[in-house]
Amino acid sequence: MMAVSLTVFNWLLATLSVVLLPHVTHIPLWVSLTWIAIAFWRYVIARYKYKLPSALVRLTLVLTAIIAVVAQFGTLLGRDAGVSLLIVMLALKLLEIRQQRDVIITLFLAYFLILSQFLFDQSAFMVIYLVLGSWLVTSTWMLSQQTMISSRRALKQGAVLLLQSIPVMLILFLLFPRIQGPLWKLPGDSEMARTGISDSMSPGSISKLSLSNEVAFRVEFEQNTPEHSTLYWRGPVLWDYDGRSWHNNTSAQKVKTWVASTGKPVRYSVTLEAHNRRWLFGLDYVVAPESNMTITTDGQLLSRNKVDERIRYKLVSRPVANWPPTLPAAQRSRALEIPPNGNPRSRQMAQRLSQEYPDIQQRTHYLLQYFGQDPFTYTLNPPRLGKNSIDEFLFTTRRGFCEHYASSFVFIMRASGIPARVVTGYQGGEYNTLGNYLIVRQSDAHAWAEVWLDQQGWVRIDPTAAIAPERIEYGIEAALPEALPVLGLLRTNISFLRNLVLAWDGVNNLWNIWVMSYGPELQNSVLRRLGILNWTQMAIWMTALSSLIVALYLLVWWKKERQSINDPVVNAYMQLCRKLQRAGIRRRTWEGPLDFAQRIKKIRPDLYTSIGPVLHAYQALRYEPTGRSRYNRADLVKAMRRVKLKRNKV
Amino acid sequence: MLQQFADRLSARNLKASEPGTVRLHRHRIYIVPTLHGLYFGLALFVMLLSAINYSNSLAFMLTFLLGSMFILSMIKTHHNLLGLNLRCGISQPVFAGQTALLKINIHNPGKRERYDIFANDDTILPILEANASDTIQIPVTTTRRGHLSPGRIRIATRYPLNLTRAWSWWQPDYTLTVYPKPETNAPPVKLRGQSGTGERTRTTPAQGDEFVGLRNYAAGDPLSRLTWRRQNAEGLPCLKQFHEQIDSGLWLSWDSVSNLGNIEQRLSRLCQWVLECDARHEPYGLSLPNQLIEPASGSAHLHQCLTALALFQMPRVQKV
Repeated sequence: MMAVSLTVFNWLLATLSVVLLPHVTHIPLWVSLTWIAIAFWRYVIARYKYKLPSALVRLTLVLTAIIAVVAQFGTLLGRDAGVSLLIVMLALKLLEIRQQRDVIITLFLAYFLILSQFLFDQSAFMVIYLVLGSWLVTSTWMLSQQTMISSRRALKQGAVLLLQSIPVMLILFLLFPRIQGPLWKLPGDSEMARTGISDSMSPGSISKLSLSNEVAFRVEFEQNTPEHSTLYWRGPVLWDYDGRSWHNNTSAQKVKTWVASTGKPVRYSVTLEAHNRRWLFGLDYVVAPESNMTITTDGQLLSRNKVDERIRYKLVSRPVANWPPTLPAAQRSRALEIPPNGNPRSRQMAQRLSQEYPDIQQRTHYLLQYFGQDPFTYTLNPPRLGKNSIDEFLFTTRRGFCEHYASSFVFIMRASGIPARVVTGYQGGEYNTLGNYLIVRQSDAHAWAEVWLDQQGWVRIDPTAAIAPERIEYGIEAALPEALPVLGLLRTNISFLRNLVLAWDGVNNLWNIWVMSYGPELQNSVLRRLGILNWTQMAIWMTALSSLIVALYLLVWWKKERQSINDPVVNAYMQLCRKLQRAGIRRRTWEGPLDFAQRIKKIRPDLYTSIGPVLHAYQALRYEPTGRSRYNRADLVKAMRRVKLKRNKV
Repeated sequence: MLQQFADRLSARNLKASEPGTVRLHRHRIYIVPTLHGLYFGLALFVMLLSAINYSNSLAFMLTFLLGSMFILSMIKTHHNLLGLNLRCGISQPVFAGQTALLKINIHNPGKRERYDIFANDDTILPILEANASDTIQIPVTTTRRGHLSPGRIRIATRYPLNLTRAWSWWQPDYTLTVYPKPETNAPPVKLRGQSGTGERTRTTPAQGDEFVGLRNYAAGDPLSRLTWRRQNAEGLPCLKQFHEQIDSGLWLSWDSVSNLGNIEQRLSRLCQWVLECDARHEPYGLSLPNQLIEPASGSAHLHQCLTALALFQMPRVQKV
């Protein structure tokens, strides 16, 4: 096998170092130092032609590296440990580069190194790294594979290949059928923090969650999908209020058989993403849970274990729950409890309401109307609230997200003597007509209230519906079109810089929305707009468009090739010769036009009358000094094209 | 393994030997991924899996970028051969057992440069400029005398990334002449005397070579005997004639080696004698049962004699 030249080797070291550079921010320091030390060592070996370390030394180093990585991360698998291991092994691989094959292996690893960087950072800036990194790796690859190639030419060829590949890449990116990951779970990955509904609710907790576009779960309905406004996905029910946040101090009582519910049954299956909590989400009110689930008395669906991987379950729900006729005393007192102090104005209001509206229905109606009036605003960016958060919200700021409305509604209800509780979960979802399923994202997180009415039981009241009915009817995007997260990082007076930051944020924002989250759902919706409805069509379009681009390249190259001689006279002459060849008279490679004419005179005297003068004219035009020729170029081209031949005789 | 399989498959519809210039059309160029290419495909698959697993758009992008690079590099490999014109140059004859060098002239009629073109895997043309020609010499091992067809030649390339290999088969209609192997320990050719190996029509003076006059130069005359001081009417140099050269020369005859066992041994010895005579600038003639070559000297005569020996009773072209 061919040995590796010093040029290739230097390029390899440089390329790998560039590819490695962004990793420095998240790998342990000793990994970077190991890389630098070994790369330097290997450079000295190559430069001064020292001997490579023996197999024993290399084996020792490999084992030491593995032990060091395990000591650092406790594992060899998973993202962080894997990248460190990859880098250390790449460094050690340098010590055994002898042949071209080793160079190729290293370059393969370099491509993987680029890929692994994207697991840490997916910002728009990383596109530059992608392009630069693959350019360098590909160029080094070319340098190592071609004989007599200069670095300059390798870089040029690499750049050309890369640029030419981009259109096909875009088509594949757009049309390659996407499936929802993860296909498998690596150990260590599950420890990553998960977003999702938590077991407590304080002002701002749900609005923060609403900024995430992550999928919470997906639902497939067996029959028709219920109305958007009825899609209340029940999560944790919160009873206890400490003046700022809502939680559950006592774990809810589990029951095997849930209160019977009536109404038209809805059958569906839920694919829930891992959220490292026990609760599951179902439509109000679940009738038939699966065997490994339990339902609490307040209607929460619980899994036996933490949901640390994606699970799928089937449920049946009915819209009306048959609550017991009376509320047990313990629950009643819990549903009426409010902190002894704080929020005096709200308490006053509650007092006033209970006197003015002895009828509970009327009281809730009044409160909802109160929320629906100006100047209450539904917003993702509510002002921060102080100690008496309910008071401040109700009477000062009046800007809030669903948790503010639910929380203050339940507080007022309790203060006026009506048992009430907060329910968190999700509301609505985005219907994907292509896949026929509902996507519920973190941004659909919601909080609402339930009040106890005698004869009716717990009745759902959603104060958000009063302030922002479109939130319930159509979803968060309809209610808050300006909800796109805006970077509040730089509050500088230099307007240029500020604009720059905002522009970059805009780019990143678009990047996040269109590129980063380009998964199965976005692909479906984008392609549906283009009229591409299923995977078969996707595959057809993908193949067709890619082939079209390749064909376009071929056409351009072919055209270029054909134009290699730019003189129309020469082209016409070549054409005439081809025509003659088809008629059985082949011009020999060494024959000039005059010799050829002489030969034609001998073998085909009948043709000579028409061809002879043309060939002589061509000779004269091409080889006589300029100006002396009697022939006009355009006329000659025409004359040569006019020559007609009969094919029959030879 | 894949390569061998593809080679066998592609060689099946190999055309019979083709005369003259052959142009590499697209329908005679085959292309198959190399081992590196297969590994590259595997790596792409792993990258795709990790992109799916982490739902990572940039990872998808990288995978697709490398994938389309693979496709384009395949086209570039193909294009690196497409349209080349191949022609056999004139190769030097060799003696049996020596390695002949088959000259192949490759012409690039296009505007693009071509890189790293292999002939039969071991000879490489690193670069072929646009609209230029270059020659590759393919070593051909010879074992027997006669006309040797070089057999099918594979013109291949792995440019630019060695991910795919394109190749074309070509069986040139060209024969190499292989002279018999000269006998190593042959008795020296007898320059004098009637008996034994050589026959002379007239005895000549000893090596002292008596100068007898001048005559016009004719093709094949040894240059060492030209005299540049005297020129003929056309201004060409004259040839010094010595006594021995005007006699009808030495005949190397088939009968004189009849004591040797088989044909090859006889030819071998005659071959050695021909070379010996040529080395001494001795005119010689060759008499074979089917052919008579009048005594003369010079390289053209040498080639004629050696070719006669090479082809003696060997009408057919052998394949490598």
